[in-house]
Amino acid sequence: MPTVEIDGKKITVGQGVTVLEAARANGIEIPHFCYHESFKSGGLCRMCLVEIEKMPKLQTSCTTVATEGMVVKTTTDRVKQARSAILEFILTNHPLDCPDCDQAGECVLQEYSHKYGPDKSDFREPKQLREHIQLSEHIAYDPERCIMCERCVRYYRDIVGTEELAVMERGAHSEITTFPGRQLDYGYIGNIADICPVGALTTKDFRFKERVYNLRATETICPLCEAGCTIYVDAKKYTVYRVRSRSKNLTSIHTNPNRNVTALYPKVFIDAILRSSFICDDGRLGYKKALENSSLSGPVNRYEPENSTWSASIALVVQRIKQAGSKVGGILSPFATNEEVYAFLYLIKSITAHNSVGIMQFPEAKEFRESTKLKLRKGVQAPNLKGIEQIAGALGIKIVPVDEVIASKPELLYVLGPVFDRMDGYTEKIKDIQCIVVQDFKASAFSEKAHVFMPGLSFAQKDGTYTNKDGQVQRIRIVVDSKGNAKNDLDILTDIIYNISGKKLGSFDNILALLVKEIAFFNNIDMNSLTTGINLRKAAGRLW
Amino acid sequence: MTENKKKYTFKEAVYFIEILRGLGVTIKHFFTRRKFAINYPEEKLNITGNTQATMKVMDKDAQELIDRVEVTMNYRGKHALLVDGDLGRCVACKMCETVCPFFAIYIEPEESPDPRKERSPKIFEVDLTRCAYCGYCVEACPENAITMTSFYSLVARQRPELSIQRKELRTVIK
Amino acid sequence: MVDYITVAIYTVMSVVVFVLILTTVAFLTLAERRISAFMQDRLGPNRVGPWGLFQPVADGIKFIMKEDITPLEANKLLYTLAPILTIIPAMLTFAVVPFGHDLFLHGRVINLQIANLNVGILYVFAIASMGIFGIIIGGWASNNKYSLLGGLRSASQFISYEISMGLAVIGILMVYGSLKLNDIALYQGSLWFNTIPKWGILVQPLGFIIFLVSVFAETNRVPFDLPEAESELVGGYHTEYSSMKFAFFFMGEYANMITASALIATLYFGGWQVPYLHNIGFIIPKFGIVHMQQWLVAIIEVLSFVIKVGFFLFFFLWVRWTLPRFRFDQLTALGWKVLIPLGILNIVITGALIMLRII
Repeated sequence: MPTVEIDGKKITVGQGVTVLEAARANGIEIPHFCYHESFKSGGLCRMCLVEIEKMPKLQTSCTTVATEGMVVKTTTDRVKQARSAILEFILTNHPLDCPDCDQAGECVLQEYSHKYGPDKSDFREPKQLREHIQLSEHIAYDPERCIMCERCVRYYRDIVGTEELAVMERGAHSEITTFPGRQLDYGYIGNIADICPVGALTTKDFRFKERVYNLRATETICPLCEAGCTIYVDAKKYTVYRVRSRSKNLTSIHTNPNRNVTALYPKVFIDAILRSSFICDDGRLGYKKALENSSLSGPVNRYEPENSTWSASIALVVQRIKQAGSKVGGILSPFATNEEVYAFLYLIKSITAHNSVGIMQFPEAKEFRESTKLKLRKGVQAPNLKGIEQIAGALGIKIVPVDEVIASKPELLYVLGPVFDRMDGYTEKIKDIQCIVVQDFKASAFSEKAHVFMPGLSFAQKDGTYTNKDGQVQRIRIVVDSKGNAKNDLDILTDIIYNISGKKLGSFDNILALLVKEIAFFNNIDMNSLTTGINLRKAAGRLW
Repeated sequence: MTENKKKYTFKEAVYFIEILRGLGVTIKHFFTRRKFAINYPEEKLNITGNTQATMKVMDKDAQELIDRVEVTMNYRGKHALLVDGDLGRCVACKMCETVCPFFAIYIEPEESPDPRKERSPKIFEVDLTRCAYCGYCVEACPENAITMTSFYSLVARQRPELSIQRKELRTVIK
Repeated sequence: MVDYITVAIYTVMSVVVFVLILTTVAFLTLAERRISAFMQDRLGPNRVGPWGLFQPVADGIKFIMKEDITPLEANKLLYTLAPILTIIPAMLTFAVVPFGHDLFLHGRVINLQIANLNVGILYVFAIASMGIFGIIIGGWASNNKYSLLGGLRSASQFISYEISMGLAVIGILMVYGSLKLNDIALYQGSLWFNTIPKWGILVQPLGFIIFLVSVFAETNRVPFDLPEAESELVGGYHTEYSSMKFAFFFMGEYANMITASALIATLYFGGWQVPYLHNIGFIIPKFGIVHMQQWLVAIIEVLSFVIKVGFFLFFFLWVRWTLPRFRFDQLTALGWKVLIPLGILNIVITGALIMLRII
C-alpha cells in the first residue's frame, strides 16, 4: 500500500497503480493522449510527463508505477515547458483544420492545445498533405490529424485480439493501416472512433452530420441485445445523431486497494471494463432501426376511420376488451420496458382466464466473428426478455410462443410493443380474429392488419427500465421529445386499465415503486443508482 | 403639488417672450430647410463611397474586396460567400450557424472536391427574413468566407425568395 | 313677400362656403403634415400627386375603406351620434362670419355673409359650445377609460376657457358697440386719430392675447390638446373610433380651427377690412382717393379675409410644432388664475379708455 505525494497531496494507492491513475483518481489532471484505462499504457505521446524527485529526467506518469515515498510535481515550469514543446511537436504536421473537423468540441488535442499549448509554432516548413486511407466503409481515417497515440492499434491488439491495425512507415510518414488489401471487419470497429483522442478516426455515419457542441448527450441503455450496454445517445431537437459508449465510473478500480496489477486485468474486472468502455457496431450504427417514427399522425381506427382520435380509440379498445371478456389474447414484445410489461400483464391477468402471454421471438444476438476476444453480445436481439420472465413469473403468468396464443382463438388480440418484422409471418393466421389491437412506435406489415393501431414511443422517447441478461435493472431515459400525435405506451396501457377496472397504476415512477414492492426480483434495486444512471443490482453481488 | 419650484427669470416667467423665440426657431427652419432625407427609389445612397475611408484591413484581400464585392466595414447588407478562383472558401464548419442568434443560417456539408479541405457546403442558406444583419456570422467565420456587402435593396414578392442559397451568395473575388 | 332670388343666392353661397370649408379641411391635413415636416427638416408626404397634393384624396379613400368598428360594450346610439355632434357646430359657426362687405350686383345688395344675425357673437358662443357635447358623448359612449378621461378633460377645459374668451370679447363689444360680426368688421375700418385703422389688435392688445390663448384651448390644439394627449391617453376621446367616424372628429377639429381663425381675423384684424379701402376705392387721408370698381373692392375684401384666415391657420400649425403640451394643472391654473383676472382687468382698462375717449 504505497503512499505517494502528488502536488503536495498525500495519496495511498493500490499495488502497481501508476502515477497517472493515482492522480486521476484523486482529481489531479495530468494531460495525456495515449493512456486509456482499458488497456496497457504505451508511453507513446509523452504528454503525461511529470517531475519526480530524485529522478534526473521527467518521467511519463502513465508508465511509472507509484512507489512508497514518491514525490511527484505536475505543475512545475519544467513540466509546463515540456508539455508545450510536445504539443508544438505533435502539431508540426497537423493541419489545424478544426472548423472542418468533426471532432472539434470533444477533441483532446484541441483542449490541451488551448490549455497547455504554445500560441505559435517555430516550424516554417509547409505542412504535409496526406491522403485519406480507407480502413473500413464505416470509419474515415485522416492521417494528417493522427497523433500516433496508437490507442486504436492497442485496442485491436489487447481488447479485440485480432491485431488488424498496425503502424506503418516511420517518423512524420507513419500512419495507421491494415494489412494491404484488407479492411477492418464489421463488429467492433466503431470503438476506435470513440477512443481516438483527435479527429483522425471518425465514423462515416456521423461524418459532417452535426457539430458535437450542438448535441445533448443522454445516458441510456442500448436496446439491441440482452447485454444492455450503457450508451450515450447524442441528440439535437427531435433528431438522434449518434450513439457512443458510456464508461461507467472507473475511478473506483484505481482507488480499489485490492487491485492486483501484476495480473494486468483480473477476471473480476475485465468484463465490466469492456462492457463499459466499448459497444458493438450493431448498437452504434444500427440505432436507427429502433428510432424511426413513421406513425406520427395519431391512432388509426379501422372501424371508424374518421373518428381516429385518442379518446375514441381507447374507448373502443376498452369496449372491445369488455365484450371479449376472458377471450383476450396478449402478445408482448421483449422491447417493452419493465413497467409496460407489468401494466400489460396486469391487464391480461385481470381479464383473461388462461393466464398466459405470448412473447415474440427475436433472433439470437450472435458474435460477428468467432476470432475476437471481445464478446459483448448476449441473448436475443431485444433488451428485456429477462425482465418479462421475472415479472411474468412473479405474477403467475405463463410465457408461451405466439403461435399458441393465436391457436387459442381469442376474440381480441392485444399486441404490445415494437413489432418490427417479427409478426409478419402471422398476417395470414390472424384473419379469424375479430379485433386486433396493436401498439407500436412504427408501422409494420402486421400493424397494417390491425383494427386499432395506437402509436407509441421508441426507446429514445420514453422513460423506463430494462433488465439485462445478467439481471441488472438499468434505466432508459427520454433522449428526444416525440413531435407527433404519439402517446407514451405506458400511458395508453394505464388509461385502458383505468377505464376497465378503475385502478390507477400511475406513471413510470409509481409502477417502478410497485415493481420494487411486489416482485422479489426487484427488491434490491438501488433506486438512487437508477436515477443517476449508474445501474447497480446489489443482490447479484456485483460491483456494477 | 410637490413639484420643485425652480426660480425663473422674469422673461421665462412671462413665457410669452419665450414662445415668440420658439416660434422664431421653427419658422427659421421652415424657410431654410436642410436636406437630410433621400427620396429612395429615385435617389440612392452611395454606401461604398461613404465608407471606403473607414474600411479596416480584415483580410489580406481587403482592397480587392472593397472594389469588387462592395464590402464595407460598417455597413451590413446582404451576405456574400467569397470564392477564390473556382473554389469557395467556406468549409461548412457551421460556426456561423451556431453563432447566429436568429437561426437564419442553415448549412449541410458534403465532401469537398478541394484537396486542401475536407468539406464544403452542399446547402448554404441564409434566410434574410430572419436575419437581423448583426454580423456575428462574419465575426465567427474562421476562413473569412462569409462577409456582408453593401447591397441593401432586398425586395421580394414571396418569403421564400428571401431565403438565399449558396449559388446566389457566391462571390468571386479573384 | 319672399325674395326667391335672394334665397337662391344665399343658398348657393352657403353651399359654396360649406364645400370650401370641407376642401380647406382636407388640404389643412396635408398642410399640417407638410409644414410640420418642413419645420423639422423633413419632406413630409410628397408621393401622391405633385408635391403630395392628392394626399387628402388618398386619406379620404383610406378612411372610407377602413372597417368601421364599434366596441361591443359601447352605447351604439351615442357612439354614432358623437362625431356628428362634433362636426355640425363647427360648420354652423361659420354662418355668421362675414367674409366680405357688400356686393352690388344688378342693383341688388348682397351681404358677403351667410347670415348677418344681430346676436352674431352670442350665436358663435352658443354654437361653438355645442361642439363639446360631441367630445364628451364620444368619450363616454366608447366605454373606454382613456376616452372618458379625454372627454372629461375636454369638458373642464372648455368651461375654463369659455369664460376668459367671453371676457376678452366683452372688450371688443365695448369698443365697437355691436354684436353683429359684420358691424364689428366694418367699424374696424374707421380711423384712429384720422390715420390708423381701429383694428381690434390695436385697441385691444391684451384682449387679443387672452382671446388667442382661449381659442387654442377651445379648439383642442397644442399646447392645450389634453383631451387627446396621445402620450397619456392613447388617443383621448377618439381612441375607439375608426373609419369615417374618426374622420368626422378629425374634420370637426380642423373645421373648428378654420372658424377660430376666421373669428380672430374678424374680431381683431378687421375681418375683410383692408386699411383705407372703402366701397368706392382707397381713401387715404391727406392724400386723396383712388377710385375702384365696386366688384373689385369686394374681391379685394374677400381676398384680404382669406389671407388673414390663412395666416392664422398657419399660425395654428406653427404653434403646434413649436410648443410642448401643458400639464393639466398648469392648463387649469392658466385659465382660472391668469386669463380670467386679466380678462376682467382688460374690461376695466377698456372702460377707462372709453371714458377718457381715447378709443
